Amino acid sequence: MNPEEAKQLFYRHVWPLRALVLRTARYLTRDAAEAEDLAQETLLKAYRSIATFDVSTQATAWLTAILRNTRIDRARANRRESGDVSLDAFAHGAQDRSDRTSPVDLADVAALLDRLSDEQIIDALRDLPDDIRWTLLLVNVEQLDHAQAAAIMGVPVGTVKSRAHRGRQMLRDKLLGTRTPQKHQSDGG
Amino acid sequence: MGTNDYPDPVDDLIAQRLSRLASRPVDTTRLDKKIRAGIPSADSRWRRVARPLTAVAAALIVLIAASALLFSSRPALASAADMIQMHRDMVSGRIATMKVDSIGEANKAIAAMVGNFPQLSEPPETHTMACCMRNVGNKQVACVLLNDGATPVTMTVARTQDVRTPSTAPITHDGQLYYVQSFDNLNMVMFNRRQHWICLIGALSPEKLMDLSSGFKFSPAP
Repeated sequence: MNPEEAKQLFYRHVWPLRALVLRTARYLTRDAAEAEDLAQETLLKAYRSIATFDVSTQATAWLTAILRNTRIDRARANRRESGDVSLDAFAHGAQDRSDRTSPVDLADVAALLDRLSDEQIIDALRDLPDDIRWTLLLVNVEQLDHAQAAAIMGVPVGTVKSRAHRGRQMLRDKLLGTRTPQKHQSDGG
Repeated sequence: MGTNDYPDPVDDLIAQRLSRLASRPVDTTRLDKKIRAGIPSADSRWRRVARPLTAVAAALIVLIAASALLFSSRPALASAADMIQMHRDMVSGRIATMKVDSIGEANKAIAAMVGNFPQLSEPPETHTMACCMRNVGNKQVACVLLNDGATPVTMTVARTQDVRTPSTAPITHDGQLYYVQSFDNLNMVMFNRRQHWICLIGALSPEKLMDLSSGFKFSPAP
C-alpha cells in the first residue's frame, strides 16, 4: 500500500472516529492532556498499521483495540495507573456488599440517575478496575456487541457478559448506594 | 443492547445512563491539528487536478478585482460624442428628467437621488428647466437643462477627480482655461472650477458659453 492510499484509507475510515477515541481516552484517565496524548498515539498507530485494517469490518472495533493496547503499553511504560484497584479486590468488595439489599423504587432510581451529571458518572467509571471499566465503555457506552468487546479484550464472550454485569452492579453501588436482590454472577474468564 | 439483556430493571437503567455518555460532545480541535501535522490529508485525484485550476481561478479573480479597483478609481473620459448625445437626449426628452424651477431645487433633487454630490451653481441669465443623474463611464454626473432665452443649454457637473476632459488644446478666456469642441451646430466647453468639472453644451457660440460660465460661483466640492 503506497502512502497516498494509506492516507485515503485513514481519512475515510479512521478520521471520522477520532472523537470516539478522544472521548473514550478521557473516560479512561483523569488527566485531559494524558487523554489527548493517548488519543494521538492511538490515531498515529492506526495510520501506521492501516494496511492491516479490513475495510469490510467495523473500524470502531479495530480502532478501539488499538486504543486499548496503546493504553496498556503506556501504563506499563510509566506505571501511572499503578493506583488502579485490582479486579479481584474490587470483585471481592462487591461480593461483600451484595449481601446488603434493600427495595428500590424504579422511578426514584431513574430520577436519581438523571440528576447525576456526566462527570459524576465518569468519575465513578474511573474508579472501577481497568477491565471492568473497559467492558462498560465498550458494551454500554460505545454499544459494541459482546463478541466485538470480547475480541478487543482478548477474553471469552461469557467473561465480557459477567464483567459488564458486575461493572453495572459496582456503578450502582457507587452511584445509588443500594442494590436490589439478584443472583451473583462470577467472572467467566 | 436491548432491554431484554437486562432482566434487572435497575441494571437496565444504569446501562441506559451509560449509553448517554457516547453522545457527550468532545472538542477535537487540538487533536486534529496534531494529527494533520503528522499525517497530511490525502490528495485525491480530483484535488490534484483542481489545485492548479484553483490557483488559476484565484489569480483571475485577483486580476479582475485589481482591474475593477484600478478602473473605478480612474477618472472616466467625457468624450465629445457621449456628451453631445446626452445633451440631445435631454433636450428632446428621450431620457427621464425631473422638472425643476431653480438650481436650488435641482440641488435638492440631486441630493435626494445620490446624497453627497457637489452643489451646482446657477448660471446667470438662464432659467433652470430640469435635472437628472447620468453616468459617464462608471462615474455619476449631474445634468441640468437650462434655457438661455430660446436656446436650451445643458450643464453637466461632476467632481474633477471623477471625469477627465478629452485631450484637446485648451484656450484661455478671461484668464480661465477652457476646452472647446464643436459638433454640427452644437458647441461644447469644458472647464474646471473649485474641484468641479463642468461641461456646457448648446447651440451658442463658444464665447457665449464661456461668458455664461464666468457667472458661476461654485463652492468647493465635498
